[in-house]
Amino acid sequence: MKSNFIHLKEDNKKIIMKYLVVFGVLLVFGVYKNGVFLYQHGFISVWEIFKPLLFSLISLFMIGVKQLVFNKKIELDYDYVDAFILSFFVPARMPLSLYAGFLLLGLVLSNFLEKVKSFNVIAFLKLVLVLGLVLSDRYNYQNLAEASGEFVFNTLDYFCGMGVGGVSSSCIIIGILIYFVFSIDKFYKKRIPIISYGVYLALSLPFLLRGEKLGLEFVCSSSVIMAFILVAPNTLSSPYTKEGQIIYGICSGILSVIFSYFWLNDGVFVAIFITSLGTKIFDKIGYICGKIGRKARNWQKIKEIKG
Amino acid sequence: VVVALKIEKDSSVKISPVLEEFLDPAFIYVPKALVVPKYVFKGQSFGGVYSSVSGVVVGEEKDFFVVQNDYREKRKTLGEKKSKILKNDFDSRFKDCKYIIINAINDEVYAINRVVGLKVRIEEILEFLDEIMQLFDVSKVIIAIKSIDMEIVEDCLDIVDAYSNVSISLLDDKYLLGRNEFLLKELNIKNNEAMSFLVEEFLKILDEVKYGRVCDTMLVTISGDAINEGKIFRIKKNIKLKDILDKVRDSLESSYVLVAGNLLNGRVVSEDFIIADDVLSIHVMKKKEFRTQKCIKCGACVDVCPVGVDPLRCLLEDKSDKRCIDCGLCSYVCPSYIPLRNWVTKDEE
Repeated sequence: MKSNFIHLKEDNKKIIMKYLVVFGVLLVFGVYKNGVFLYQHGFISVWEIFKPLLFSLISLFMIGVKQLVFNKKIELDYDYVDAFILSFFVPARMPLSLYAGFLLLGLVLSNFLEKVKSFNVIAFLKLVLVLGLVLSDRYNYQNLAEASGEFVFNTLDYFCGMGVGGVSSSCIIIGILIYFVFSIDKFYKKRIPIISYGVYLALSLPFLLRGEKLGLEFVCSSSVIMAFILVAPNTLSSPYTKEGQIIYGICSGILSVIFSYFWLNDGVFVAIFITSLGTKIFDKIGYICGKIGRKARNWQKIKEIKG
Repeated sequence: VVVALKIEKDSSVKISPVLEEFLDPAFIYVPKALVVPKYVFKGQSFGGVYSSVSGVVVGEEKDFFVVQNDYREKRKTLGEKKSKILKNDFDSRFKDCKYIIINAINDEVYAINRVVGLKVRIEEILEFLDEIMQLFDVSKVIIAIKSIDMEIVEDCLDIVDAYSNVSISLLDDKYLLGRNEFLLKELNIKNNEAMSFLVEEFLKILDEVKYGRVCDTMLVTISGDAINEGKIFRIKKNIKLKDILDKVRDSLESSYVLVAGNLLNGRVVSEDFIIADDVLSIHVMKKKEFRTQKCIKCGACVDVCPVGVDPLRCLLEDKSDKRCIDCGLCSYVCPSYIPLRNWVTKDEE
C-alpha cells in the first residue's frame, strides 16, 4: 500500500469547523433579525430571541441522533454542515416542534433513499419541511414584523437582510461575503453558484425588464441566491468534474427560474433537488468532454508539429 | 491543469547546508551479477550500477554482493567508447537548442542536495557549460534555483556573474519543479528549445565526458521532523542506510519512520536499505496515522492533478490511468486521507 508521509493541513475536520464558524455569522444575523429586532418592537418575548439558534441546535442534535441510530457512533462529518445550512432556510414562524418532527421524518427518509440514489439532502429535507408547513397550514415566510406591515424597508435594507426569507438566510451581503471566503478554499465548488445564478439572472431578466410579477424581488431573492451559494455546491451531491459542474450549474439555473416563478422561496430547492439526481450523469458527460478536449489538443499539437 | 503546487512544510524542520562527508564505508552493496567476481574495481559495472569502491566480494545479501572496501580505490578506466557515445548523443540533442537549463530544485520536500551539489562544483559546472555553449552554439544557460535556497548559493553569485550568458532564475518553492518538464513550463520555454539537466545528471555527464570517470559519490539529505537538524552528506554510492544514520543517531527522536525519496511518493525503508544513486533524500519522520474517511467528492484530486488524470474515477471504477506520473499530489490534497495513488497507479505496481 503506497501512502503519503505529508498531507495538506486542511482535512475534513478542519473544513467542517471552518464552515461551521463562517455560518455562525449568518446565525448571528438570524438572531438579530428574527430575535432581537422583534423583541425590541414587542413582537416576541425574551425567550423567543434565540429561536434561530434553537433551529440550528435541533438540526445538529437530530444529526447526532441519526448517527447514533444508523452508524452507532457520533462523528463530525458533513451531515452537520448540511443540517446547519438547512436550519437557516426555515421560515421564522415555523414551530420548533413541527420543525423537529418533520426533520426527523426527513432524515429517516433520506437515509433510506440515499442508498438507492444520491441527491441533495439539504434540498430534500427542506422540501419535507415545506410539506410539514403546508400540511399544518403554516406556510408563510414573513416574520411577525413583516406580517404586521408596520415597517417599510428600502432596497439597501433588503440587501442587508431585512427582506422576506429564511430565518437566518435573508442577508444577501453576508451570503456574498461567505461566497468569497469559501472561494479561497479549494474544496468549495465555486463555479456552481456563479453559473447557476448567472443562468438564473439571464433567464429572469426579461421578466424584470418587462416589470412582470415580482420584478427585483425575483432576481434578488435571498432564498435563491443563498441556496445557490450554500445548497447547490453541496459536496456530496454535486459533480466534481469542471465540465459536470458547468452542466449542473446551467441545469439548476434553468430549473430554478421555472420553479421560482411559481414558488419563489422554495422553487430553487425543487430545482436543486432534481438537478442533483443527475450528478453522476453530469460527471460522466464531464469526463467524456475532458477526454474529447484532450484528444483535440493532442491532435492540434500533432498538426502543429507536422507544420 | 496546475503546473505546480506549493507544499505546506513544517517550518521547524531545519537542514544544515554544510556538506559532510562519509567516503570510507567498510562495505558497499552492488546488485548481483550472473558471475560472482572475486575482486571488484572502483567503477566496475553491475547491470548499470557502478561500484564506488574497490575491494573483495565477501558475501551476498538478498539481491546484492557485499564488497569489503580495501580503501585502495583501484579503478577500471571508463575508456573512450562511453565518451564517444555521449558526444554523438550530444550532437543530436543540442541541435536547434537555444537554452541549457540546470535544474537545482529538489521536490523531496525537506532536501537541498541539488543546490548544494551545484554550489560545491559551481566552477567546474560553469567551465563545462561554457565549453558546451561554444561547441553547440547554445545562446543561454539558465540555472533554476528555489528563491528560499538562494542563501546557500550566495557565495557563488560572483562566479556566475563572470559568465555573461549564464543567469540564475529564482523560482517559488513549488512542488514538481524538480522535474524538468514542469520546470520548462514554469519558465515558459518550449520543450524543443531547451536541454534541461538535473544537477546530478549534469555532474555525471561532466565526470564522464570531461574526466572519463564514473561518478562514485552522491549527495543525500538526511532530514525530517524526527531529527534535530537535517544534514547533507557526500557518500559513496550503494552503502547501507544504517551506516549513515549512525552519524546522526544522537539527534534522532526515539520513535521514527524512515522514508526514502519524496514525502509525497516515497517508500518506507528499513535501516538495511541500500542507498543507490536514485535516492536523493532520506526523511526521518515522526510516526503519523492518517485515518481514511469516506470520499466527499470535492474534486480537489482532479483539480490538482498536473497531467489531467481523474483519480476519483479511478477510485470509483477501480481502474488505473497510464498517464499518472505518481507525483502523489492527489493523495496529498485529499481531505479524506484516501491514498488515491494506490488506485491510479495500480497496474504498475
